[in-house]
Amino acid sequence: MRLTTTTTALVATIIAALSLTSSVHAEEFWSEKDVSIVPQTFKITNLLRTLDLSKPIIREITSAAVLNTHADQDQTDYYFPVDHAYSDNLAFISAENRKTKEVLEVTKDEEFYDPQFQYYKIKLATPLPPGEKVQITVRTSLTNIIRAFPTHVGQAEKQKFVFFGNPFALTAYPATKQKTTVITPNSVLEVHEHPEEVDLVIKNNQVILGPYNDVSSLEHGIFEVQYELSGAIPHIRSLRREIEVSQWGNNLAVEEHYNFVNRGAELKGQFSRIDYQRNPMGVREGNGALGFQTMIPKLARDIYYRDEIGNISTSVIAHHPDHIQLMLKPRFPLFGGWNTTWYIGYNTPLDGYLRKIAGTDKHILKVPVISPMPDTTYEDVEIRIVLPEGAKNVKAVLPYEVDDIEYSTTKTYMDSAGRSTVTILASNLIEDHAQDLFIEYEFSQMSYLTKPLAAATMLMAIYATSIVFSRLDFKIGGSTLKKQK
Amino acid sequence: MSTESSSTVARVLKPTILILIAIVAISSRLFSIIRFESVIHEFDPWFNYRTTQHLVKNGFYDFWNWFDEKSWYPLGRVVGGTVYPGIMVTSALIHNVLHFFNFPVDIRNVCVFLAPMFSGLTAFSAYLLTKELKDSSAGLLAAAFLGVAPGYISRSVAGSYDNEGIAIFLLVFTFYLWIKAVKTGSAFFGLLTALFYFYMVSAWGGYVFITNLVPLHAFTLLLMGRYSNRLYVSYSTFCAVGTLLSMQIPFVGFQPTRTSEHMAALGVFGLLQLYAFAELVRGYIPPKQFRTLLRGGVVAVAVIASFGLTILSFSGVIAPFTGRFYSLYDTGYAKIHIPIIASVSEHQPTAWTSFFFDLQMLIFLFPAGVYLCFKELKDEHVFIILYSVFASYFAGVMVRLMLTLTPVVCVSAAIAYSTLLDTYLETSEHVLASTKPAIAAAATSAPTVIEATTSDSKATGKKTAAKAAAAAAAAAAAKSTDAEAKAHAKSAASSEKKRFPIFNLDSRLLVILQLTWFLFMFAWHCTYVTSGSYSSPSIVLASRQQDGSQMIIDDFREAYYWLRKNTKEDAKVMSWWDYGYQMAGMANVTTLVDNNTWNNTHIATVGKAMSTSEEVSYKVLRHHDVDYVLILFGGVIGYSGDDINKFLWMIRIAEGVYPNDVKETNFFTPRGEYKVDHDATKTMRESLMYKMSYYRFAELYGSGNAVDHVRNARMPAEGPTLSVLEEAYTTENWLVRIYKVKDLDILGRDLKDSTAFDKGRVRKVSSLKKK
Repeated sequence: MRLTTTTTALVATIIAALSLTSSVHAEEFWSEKDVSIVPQTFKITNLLRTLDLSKPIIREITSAAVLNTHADQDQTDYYFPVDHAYSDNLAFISAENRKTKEVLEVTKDEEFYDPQFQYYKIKLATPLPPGEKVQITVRTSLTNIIRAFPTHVGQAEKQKFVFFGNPFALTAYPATKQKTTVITPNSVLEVHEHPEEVDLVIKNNQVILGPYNDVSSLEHGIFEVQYELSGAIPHIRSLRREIEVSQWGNNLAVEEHYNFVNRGAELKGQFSRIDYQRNPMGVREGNGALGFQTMIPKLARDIYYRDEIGNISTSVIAHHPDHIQLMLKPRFPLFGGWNTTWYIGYNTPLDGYLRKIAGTDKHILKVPVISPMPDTTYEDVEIRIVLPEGAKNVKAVLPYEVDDIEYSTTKTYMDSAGRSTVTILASNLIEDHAQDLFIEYEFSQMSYLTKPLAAATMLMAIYATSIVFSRLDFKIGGSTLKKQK
Repeated sequence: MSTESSSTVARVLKPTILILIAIVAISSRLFSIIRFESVIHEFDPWFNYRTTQHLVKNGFYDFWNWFDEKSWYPLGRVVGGTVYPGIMVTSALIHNVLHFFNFPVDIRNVCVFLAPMFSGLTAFSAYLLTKELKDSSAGLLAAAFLGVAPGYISRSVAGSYDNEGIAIFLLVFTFYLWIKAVKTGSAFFGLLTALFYFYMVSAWGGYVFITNLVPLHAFTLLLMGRYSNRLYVSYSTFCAVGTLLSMQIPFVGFQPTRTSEHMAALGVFGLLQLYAFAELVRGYIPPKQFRTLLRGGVVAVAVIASFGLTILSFSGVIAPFTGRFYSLYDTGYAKIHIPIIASVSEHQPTAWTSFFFDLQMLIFLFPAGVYLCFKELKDEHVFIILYSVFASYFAGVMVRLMLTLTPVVCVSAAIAYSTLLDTYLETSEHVLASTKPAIAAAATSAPTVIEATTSDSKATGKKTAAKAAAAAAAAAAAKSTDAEAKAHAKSAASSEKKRFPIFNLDSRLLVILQLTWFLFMFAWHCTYVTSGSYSSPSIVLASRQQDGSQMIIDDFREAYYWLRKNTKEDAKVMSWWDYGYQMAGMANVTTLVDNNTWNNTHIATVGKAMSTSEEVSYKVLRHHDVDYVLILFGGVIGYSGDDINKFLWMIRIAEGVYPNDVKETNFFTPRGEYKVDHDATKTMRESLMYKMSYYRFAELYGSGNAVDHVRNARMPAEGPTLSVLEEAYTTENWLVRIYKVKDLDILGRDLKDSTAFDKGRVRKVSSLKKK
């Protein structure tokens, strides 16, 4: 183990931070043994965990060989614990049967409450008979968990990050054998762990913790690794996505408002243009970003890219067979800690998104929740879907749980009654959430006539008033004067 | 074609033509939108836009009471009391009405398209005005001229969201209403004049032009002995209501009763009352007594008035003329006394070429139109003559006042042009129209004429009459009709202003073709000027690359947006006042000075900070809590409007207030040259502006090859060093450079020493390594 003075200091701060966040005192933290409260019906015979630190979003893959130890009952519910301290960081969780590649249903468990752990219930596709084994792979994505250390770096200087977590795979059941592999983008700089009993192996950009034998359930310790990670840590503080459906114009108008911050190590001192011009690529090797890529539909037109003070002239559009690649370059390079906002928008034909169920008035709209940018985390996402005027019985169906779904009406160009609107609020989204959401609504053929009728009535009213007015005489005493003449 | 049907056609044609003119006027102002984007231009519009946003967001009362702590730090600015709110209220009203009808139009688009929309209305009011002076065909011409005249377009392209955008419409329309009021003597039109005058007061400081021109017109009519009850009613209504209304604008306040610029209106008002009173008295007293009374009255009034005025002026109740007003007399006045006014390019005297550039053929037709007005010389023509004379003078003194000249030029030119057309085009119809009753008269006078001839139309009637040789009496009758008709026509033409129609087809065609050619040239010129000179948003620069593709230089917005997003919320940014409004609008930062230039001392302080050495300037910067300093530097791409070129004005303005700290002569070489290269004086090289502009500039090029592309100067290889500032952001083309003011040294050292110490240590280490 390599241990330097900086690392010691680092660990001290981390421990201090921990003792602040959790109510448990530092000494107790190590001594106390947590006991799993879920039914102990399984035993893990072998567990392999991979922690992938090569991207800003940490991917954890836990593959466990699980044995049903219950005497006579088939088992369907496997529990996967997540420390509450990480519940805000956990962006995405999915599970599959490793052999059959079947996707397993994962739900947040409400039954077993533990102040320190949140259990996720994984439902096996087929009940597991006693004495049988199954291989379960759980994938979790953790956001906003790594910290830049040192916190400030100079322009084009390499930035370093520290990840700290549990050297053991957290399980609800005892494990006979488990091993964790940590993958970093480049060479590992420093590693420190607690308890220190077990040796660890460092190979190039990998750290192998374990194998550990006979690990009890909910075993935890502390482990931290420092490594180099270049480029920006893109984070969208808020995203407002507005989708407007026009069945008249067969058009889907999309507008997305981004509020961006680079969560990389902050820029030390100030920005020097001359240094940047000498080595523009240094930005990306250091803590900066020059632009972002996003995908928009193939048939999109009227694409715009603006911010609060107007058009941003630096964007490149690349047409691909199935989509358009939009290369967005902000007005200035984005170093660590720098912010910017922008919005993009486009129109696209509605055909690919809306389906009418034959014989009924029912329509189903299918749109992606977000159009993802790679390695980006989205803190607050608001999706507003404005349906055509006259849409009734609106219902939103989402592929996963979100914070809130609201139904309201919006009034816009020439509306009389207002348009049904669905507002979806979600938080902590990543690429994996870029799935389709469905909006069901009823829209009768008669509703197509609402708008022309409203417009015609309005014009009629204007003409009628002008006819009446032109026939009225507003002159004071005009007629009497004429008579006198 | 009968007169009835032609008047129906005219009735349809006129609105159609007017609508087309409005469309042309609007669309010719959209070049910048098509070429760039829907964005607010220039400097002042950014302030108007920002206040409009505030108005829309927070409502009218909040806007009225708005104290803007983000400008003129640390003084702040009472916005509600120091703006002409007309344009903001207009666009907020449009915005709110649209939103009421569920048209979610962005306020930015309302602001961008406001001026073009109003230009359509201006064209319409030019039509109305000219119609009152001559006829509707001249009106249509005037509308068309004003719709596309570059002199007006220069201030009303899409995105040029400035007071003038709506003020010119109000100016022309108020004049139209005034003429109408004088013509009809109606209190209703007098009241309308006052209402639109109020709107004008709320929209533009140029309302003073109306305040002086209308009384002048009334006064001139009095002198010409054209006093009438019409004049009395219209002027009294206008003056009383208009003055009261104008005082409702906080920025104007009590000025209409207390400043010299407004005295003419009140004076003429009083004079009219006296005159009317005298007229009244004359009706009741015998002429001899009346004459005595009049003499006594005139003397008494003159004595009282002059005494009163002198006392009021000296006691300060009536303020003397302001400096801006003096600079209209004497173009050299501002340069000596108020450099801040002289430093604005739009306050410079007009170059004669720009008259042609902005008005093209109209400038030749203009005097002809004025001459024609002299020939008619009704009350309304007197007004146009006065307007032409004064507007011409002011346009000659100040470039931006070309704007007030343009409407009258268009109107007079339209009168001249349409008179020409009348002479060369309308004659034939004129003859035909007057022959018609003559024929009818002849037909009735000869009852023996065969029925067939009379029942036929006039032209065919002649032919059939000629063919029917058998009926000699009928032929004789026809001949006599012809002769009579000619005689009638001649007498009609001579009775109508003695205009001799020109029958010769060649000369008619020649003149008319030439005139049409002029019209084409005019349209072409207007489009060319608008597209080439007046449609650049100036916050975005466009240049052509070597392969012909357009390259957009967007450095201003790059810097402003960086400031907006990456500095702390209350960051104070110092820059020369030119960029104040843009910074407040786009960067949303606190500024020290801006385009409102109301406090010369504050501006001079900024000038001092820019033009003194680091030590002196650091004190000023710290005193004003400055976090960042923003400058423009065009040396890399050759943008000539940068701060080094404006530097002399900064020095001059600073010297006016701080003569001990700043001396203009120290910035000139012994040979009297303004240099930035090796020959630059020590004061120049040590000034903060010079240091900020050229900081690390030489490193951009190879050793000793640094060239400032604006001033074509070869720069020293060793650039200036900075110790109290550090470079915070420089844009892509180096157009905008932002520096951060350093905090005091934590060890209490002088910043110069600490910087030298830091550098010195580095040098020592490297020199050790070399050994």
